[in-house]
Amino acid sequence: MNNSIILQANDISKTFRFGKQELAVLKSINLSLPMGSSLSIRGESGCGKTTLLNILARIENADAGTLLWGQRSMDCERKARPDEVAHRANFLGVVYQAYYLVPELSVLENVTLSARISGSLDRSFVERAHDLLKKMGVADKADQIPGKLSGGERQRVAIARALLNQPKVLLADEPTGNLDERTGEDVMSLLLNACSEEGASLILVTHNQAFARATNQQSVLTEGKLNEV
Amino acid sequence: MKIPWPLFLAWKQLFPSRKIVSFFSLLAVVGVALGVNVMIVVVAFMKGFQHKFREDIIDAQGHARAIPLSRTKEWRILQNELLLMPKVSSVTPYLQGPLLVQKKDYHSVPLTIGIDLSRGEPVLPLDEFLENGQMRLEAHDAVDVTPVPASSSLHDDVVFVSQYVANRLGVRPGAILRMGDSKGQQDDALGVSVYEFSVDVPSAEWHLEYLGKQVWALRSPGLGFAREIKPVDGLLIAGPGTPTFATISPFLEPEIGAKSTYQTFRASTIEVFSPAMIEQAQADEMVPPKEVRVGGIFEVPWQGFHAEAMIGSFRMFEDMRTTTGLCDGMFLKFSQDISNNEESLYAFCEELELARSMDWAFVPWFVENAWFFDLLKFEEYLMILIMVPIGLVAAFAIAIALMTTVLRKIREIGLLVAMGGARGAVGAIFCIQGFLIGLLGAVLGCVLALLFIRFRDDIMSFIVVRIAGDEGKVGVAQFYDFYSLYVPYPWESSESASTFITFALFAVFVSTLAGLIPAWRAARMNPADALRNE
Ligand SMILES: Nc1ncnc2c1ncn2[C@@H]1O[C@H](COP(=O)(O)OP(=O)(O)OP(=O)(O)O)[C@@H](O)[C@H]1O
Ligand SMILES: [Mg+2]
Repeated sequence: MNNSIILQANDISKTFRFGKQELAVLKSINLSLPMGSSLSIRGESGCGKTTLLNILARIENADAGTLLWGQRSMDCERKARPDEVAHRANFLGVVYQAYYLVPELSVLENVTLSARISGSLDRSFVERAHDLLKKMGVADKADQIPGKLSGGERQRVAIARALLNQPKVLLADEPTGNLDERTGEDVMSLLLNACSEEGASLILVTHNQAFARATNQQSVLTEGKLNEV
Repeated sequence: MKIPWPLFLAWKQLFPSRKIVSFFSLLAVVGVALGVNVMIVVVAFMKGFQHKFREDIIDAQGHARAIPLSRTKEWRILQNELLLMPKVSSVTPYLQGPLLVQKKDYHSVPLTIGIDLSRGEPVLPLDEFLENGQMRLEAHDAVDVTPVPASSSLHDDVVFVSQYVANRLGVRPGAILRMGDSKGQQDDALGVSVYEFSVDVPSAEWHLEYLGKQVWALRSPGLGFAREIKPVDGLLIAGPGTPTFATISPFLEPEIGAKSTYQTFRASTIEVFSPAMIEQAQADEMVPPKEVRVGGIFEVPWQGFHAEAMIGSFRMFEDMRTTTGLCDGMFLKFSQDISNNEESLYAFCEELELARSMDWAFVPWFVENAWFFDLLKFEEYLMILIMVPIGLVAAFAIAIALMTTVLRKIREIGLLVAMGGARGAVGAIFCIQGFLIGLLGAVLGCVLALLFIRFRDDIMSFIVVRIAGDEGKVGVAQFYDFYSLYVPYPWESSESASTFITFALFAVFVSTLAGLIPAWRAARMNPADALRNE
């Protein structure tokens, strides 16, 4: 049973301190994500959803708690080690609300960036990038620069980029937050389809109830606790 | 081939996909290029001036002077010895001292140098000095076609005087003018030009006519002179007291009966007294002065040379002193390998001195002009002092430019770390960017410097004419010798090459260093904070 859990968080707490003020954002969060499944997290603005995703991605430290990436167990209090950083490139893909495409690179170069960073870029990755772009419906934009794309197109490119290394888990932080309703729906269905086709597990942060319902598990983050619904 | 991804990103930030160049990087590269250009050009020009001063001093007195320490009559032996040495390229013995010269009521006491030009190349480029000093007459309907006087015309009754002396006494060398409104030094209608104009040509009007078949007739009705002349080795020589013509090449057969009129003015005479003669005159003895003709006016480019100066033959000076077999010293010039470098020149002079058991002192030019040499060195230090802040300003500009990109790219930096980029590699992007900007800037700066050196005269004229008009242009040429400045290209001189390379490397080094600060900042950044950055 434990074998099929791809991502697991135990007792993760995080408190931000600025001066004398303390803000306990996460209080002993537990979470486990079976392989190939999806989990949605909703919550009010500022309740700590992005912080949680950052901790799951080991971009940010927690004050306490442990994390399992597949078989790899990590202590969340310390900074990510270089080997964990390198491992992350193949284990995790992240999609952000604000796309974060590199403006100087073409769409294709953006998509293949992660392979380039891990030093494994070759023809097969370029072909895979083209496939993913086709899957996301933006194959014709491969040579375009991100500055010339619409918001929906940018997010599709960002999803293709996150999926390039065949990550086990995809973290999506309000991927439709900057998009209008129609476009958001299109992008979301593309995201869900792509994840199941690629076999990637998904953690989706969203405000949209309808999108949340499309995932296997649904949860809400309130007052630092993650509650299943 | 796989390029490391930080290099790829650094390159792409400078030259983005689907764009020729990013505006930011263009600014940074141009900034570096301008800095490199300024530094190279300033140094190259300073070196050019140094070179020119050096050449001018050496022209005015040779690489060294041999000065007798005891009144010796052996100078001809020394001259022979020196001339036999392969490292010595020319030797000019001289006598020197003040002589009183007089023209009517005007006097001057120029420092007079009597030089012996009988053996080999003279050390002083006298012909150049004469060319510098020549003042042509401006006349309406006539052209001054006097040839530049040659040092070979320095006979015992001829002297060359400096411009200052000429003006003071109101004297000038002989002149020949071609009448009529045709311009140019050559007499195209007759296929000839004036080749030589000696001091014994009297003032007169001359008619030159082409008679056909390579025969010309030279007549002067006033002098009762008429002669037909044929060219010998291209020269038309009609005998003493007449101007010598040369046929021009390519020779075009003139029309038979073609005629030109020339007007000649005889060279001024001046009277010369030696100090001994003046003493005798004071003792009421009758001493006739020596009469000499002004053979030419010279100008020595080096400002340190005596303004009130006269050059005569060695024999004339001996006559004035009524001594023989003495010399006051010798101007010396050595082969390139000795003279190129101060140390070897100094060593060689020492060697010569020791070999002559200290009968003669051999004084290198930079010892004699130590003050000036020190000034040149000081100028060099000053130059470095100016260069350092220029370099720092350039470095600051690059650092600020790169820092701005880091600030612009904070969220991307977070993204790259989140995508598995190592912090060191992320920092390297900015370091590499600094390096690339430095490299491109250095190359562009060198190209700009080459263009600047190539078109320096045009640029200078452009600026000067705009500020001071055409007169200013003359001033620049006259006082600063800007237009004759020797500024070598890097492939012409190793010194120039090392200037280019030094400043190019400096720019690359400083830019890389300047990229280090933003690189360090980027590498230290917390990715979560970076991603949140607005
Ligand atoms: N580095 C930080 N220092 C101090 N406080 C922080 C820091 N990062 C986040 N916070 C605070 O933590 C809380 C949670 O932030 P977070 O971005 O996780 O919220 P969120 O649930 O993603 O909100 P939204 O839905 O608006 O994106 C916020 O109140 C924020 O002000
Ligand atoms: Mg958020």
